[in-house]
Amino acid sequence: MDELDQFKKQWKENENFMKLNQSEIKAILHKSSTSIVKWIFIICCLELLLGITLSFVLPSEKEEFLAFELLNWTYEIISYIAIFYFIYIFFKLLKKIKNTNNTKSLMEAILAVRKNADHYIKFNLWCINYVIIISLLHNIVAEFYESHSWSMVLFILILGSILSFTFGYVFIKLAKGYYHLIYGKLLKKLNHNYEELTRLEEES
Amino acid sequence: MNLEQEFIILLEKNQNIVHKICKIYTDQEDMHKDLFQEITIQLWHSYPKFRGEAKFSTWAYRIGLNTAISLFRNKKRTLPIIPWDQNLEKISYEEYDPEKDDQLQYLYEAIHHLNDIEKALIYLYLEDRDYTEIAETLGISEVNARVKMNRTKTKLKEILKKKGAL
Repeated sequence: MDELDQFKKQWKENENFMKLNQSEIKAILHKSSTSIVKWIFIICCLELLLGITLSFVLPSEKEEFLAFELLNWTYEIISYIAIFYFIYIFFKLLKKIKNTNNTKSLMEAILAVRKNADHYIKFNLWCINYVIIISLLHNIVAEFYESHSWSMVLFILILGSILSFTFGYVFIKLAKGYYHLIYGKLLKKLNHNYEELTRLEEES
Repeated sequence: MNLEQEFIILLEKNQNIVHKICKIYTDQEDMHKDLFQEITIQLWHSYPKFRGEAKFSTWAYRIGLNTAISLFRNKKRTLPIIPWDQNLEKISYEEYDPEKDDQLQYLYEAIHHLNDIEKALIYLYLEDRDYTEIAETLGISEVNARVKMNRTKTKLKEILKKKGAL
């Protein structure tokens, strides 16, 4: 007989718990859930909303060069397609999260939503970098078109490159900090438990 | 009888399944209540799909353990955002006697030293579930469930021995 079996017997016989009556259970049913999925849903919705709002709010000037006009159009079309794609994937992944799944699949489904949000943020960072580089090129072309001065072009190129690099670096750092703060804390335990289950499968 | 009433009666009768999960995943009364509340909500949300498909206990183990394992918990206190329903403070504590738990207290304390996955394994062992069900609940192979169960039981025994309970 296993040494733990004596505890098992006591465990099974134990009825010494607080007892909730029907009205107390009923009161719980009308409370809001605080599940991790709900938090991820809210955070992802806010991220998507912010991305969409920014694309509407940011001013767009009338473009004088045809090449840049075409680039702007392409950029806008791609970014709208991407937003719809991310929203589609987001809801598709959300539907897969069911607490009746086994523990491993449930955790995989939750982490997949987080990964989609991760891709969305990375996409936005690439967009920001793209906009910075395009506006730098635009300024160089405009300057050259107006003054035909190579020294001015060189100056804008150097200054612009430094600024682009600095801003790009700051944005990436900010995004990493944001991830660490929001998802890192929220999903730390879940990640840890998922790794534990995965390790278990890998060991044998 | 409507769906809600049906669920309430079923859970009232089987609430110890949930309390036992709360007992191994939490070590404070307010945390116990928070987890009980969240598991109840999750069970209720899944109830329309469950109705009669499996044994209530099998279904409740899965949802209960999944909720406990995936719930975001602050180190200081669980779920500070949603306050515990004031009505529930009226729970009849006279029915609950902590002293009766003395013998089991060692077990609970030892279980609290295990990680979340190990807790789930020990819970299912104490509930006498077979390895097929344990493997299905956690999403691992039966062989791995056996291996991990043996290791976890050894670990638990060592903790209990250190505490002088074995």
